[in-house]
Amino acid sequence: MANDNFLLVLGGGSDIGRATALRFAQAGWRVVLAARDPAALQRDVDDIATRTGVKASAQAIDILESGAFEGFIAGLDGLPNAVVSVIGLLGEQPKAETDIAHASLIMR
Amino acid sequence: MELTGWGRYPRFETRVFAPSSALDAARLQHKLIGVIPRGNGRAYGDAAIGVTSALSVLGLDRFRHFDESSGRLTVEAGVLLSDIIAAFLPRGFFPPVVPGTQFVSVGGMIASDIHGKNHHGAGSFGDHVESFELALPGGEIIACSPAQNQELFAATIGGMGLTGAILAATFKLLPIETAWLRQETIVARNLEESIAALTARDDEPYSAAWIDCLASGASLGRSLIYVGRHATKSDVEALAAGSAREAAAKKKARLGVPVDLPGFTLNRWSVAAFNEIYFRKGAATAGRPFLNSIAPFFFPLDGVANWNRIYGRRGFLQHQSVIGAEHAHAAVGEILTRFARRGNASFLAVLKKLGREGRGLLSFPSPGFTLALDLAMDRGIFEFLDAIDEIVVAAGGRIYLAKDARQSRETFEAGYPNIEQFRKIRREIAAERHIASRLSDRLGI
Repeated sequence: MANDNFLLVLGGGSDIGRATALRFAQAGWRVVLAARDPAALQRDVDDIATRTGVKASAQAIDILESGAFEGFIAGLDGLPNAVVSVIGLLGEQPKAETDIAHASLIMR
Repeated sequence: MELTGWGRYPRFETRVFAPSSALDAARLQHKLIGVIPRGNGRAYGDAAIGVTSALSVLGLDRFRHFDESSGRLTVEAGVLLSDIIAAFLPRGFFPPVVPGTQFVSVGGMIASDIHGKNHHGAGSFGDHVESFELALPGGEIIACSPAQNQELFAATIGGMGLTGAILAATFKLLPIETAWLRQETIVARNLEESIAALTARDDEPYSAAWIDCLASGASLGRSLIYVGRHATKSDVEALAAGSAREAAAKKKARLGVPVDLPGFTLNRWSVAAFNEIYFRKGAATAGRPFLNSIAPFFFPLDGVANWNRIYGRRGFLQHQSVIGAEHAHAAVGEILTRFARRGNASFLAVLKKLGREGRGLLSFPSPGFTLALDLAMDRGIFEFLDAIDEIVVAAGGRIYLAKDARQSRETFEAGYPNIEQFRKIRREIAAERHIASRLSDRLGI
């Protein structure tokens, strides 16, 4: 059932990321879950690969380290056909109103 | 929260903990006193209700590894059988043993050492488990297999969670050619014919008899016996699946019972009418093999979501016993006679031939015939079942713990000769009081 399509999930450690990756994998897509701590994703990667029989792997990325993006892309096995990004920071509104660093972090 | 089993009796206020990983589960279990691991809550009685708390393993729902060439699968204990079937049926594999519902956890399947329609040949689920990870009361996680921690391996299979939480397990799936069953229906006009047919057709991998429990006299024990096997490609060609496929597609939308029906919906007359139709409809297909799909063949009641609610809020009991072949005819006949005489609305009873003794110290299966009947809660039911238990004990039989909510200690001890050995192992791992369910409390396990 595997096909040539490749999905990259940024923020693969989240429940939404995991569920999205599983749906794509069930449709035959190879998936890469990317998050800050790829070792923590191994359980989900194994789950997706075992359930679907397609290839799944984990890759490290820190979305705030934009300088490392080129190396990250080069480390992927080919370019993805689709990228789903589920990274975000809700932050705290009262804090963001007075703390410019916190506000900037949310806006990034 | 108020916790019950599938039979909705008994009910107990219980704290429920829901760890999200094996490590968390082991840590939590270590801290709690009077805790019992709980899977999908399909044990009928009080097996998965802790004395103080229940440790839900449903968050341990990840698949770990599958080896296509051997069929060997490793999953966490909270993975449901339905998820395994959904993932592997399209890939040509089926679980080696399945019970009457697919909404059970792998941990629960091991803890109850569940059996299926193929027990006479394949044994119970525990016979197919190669290894599992067990969280001991002390907090450590150990591997158990026939070669490693053998005593705990044997105690945990069928051990109703009382040696600690199972965290993950490895077993082999069965390769199959198609997703169809080649099914045949046999009509048995009475109990003697039912037992004879189950015995004569035990070359078929799957078989079970659905007994009309309102039939009495010369028809006592009349049944429809369903036998079947996984269909090969040539079976499918020979039997032209078109009609069966359509039927399966139609059935896809599950019916549901959204609310409790009043307890009086089921009575002697409505059930008798249902059984008459059911029996005649089944008899009309007798002798002609046909193709059936997985769900209606193995899990007919799963098609009616929340069917346990048809018995009303008071809940119901299921009585399942196993009796050796030499006493089966007399004992099963006597039990059916009493049920028929009482007229208590048991829809149908299931009679099934069992094969070898289970591997676990408290495994239910043993060679002979197992009879399962549902009963709505009503006045006198406990006394009635106590008298049924006497028949079972006199015939050297036992009552299935996964279905039980009410048997006495005496009945339990008479049926499970390895109980002392089991208690000793519980003492050795300091599981007494620490790991305890309402069932273990009631039966003094």
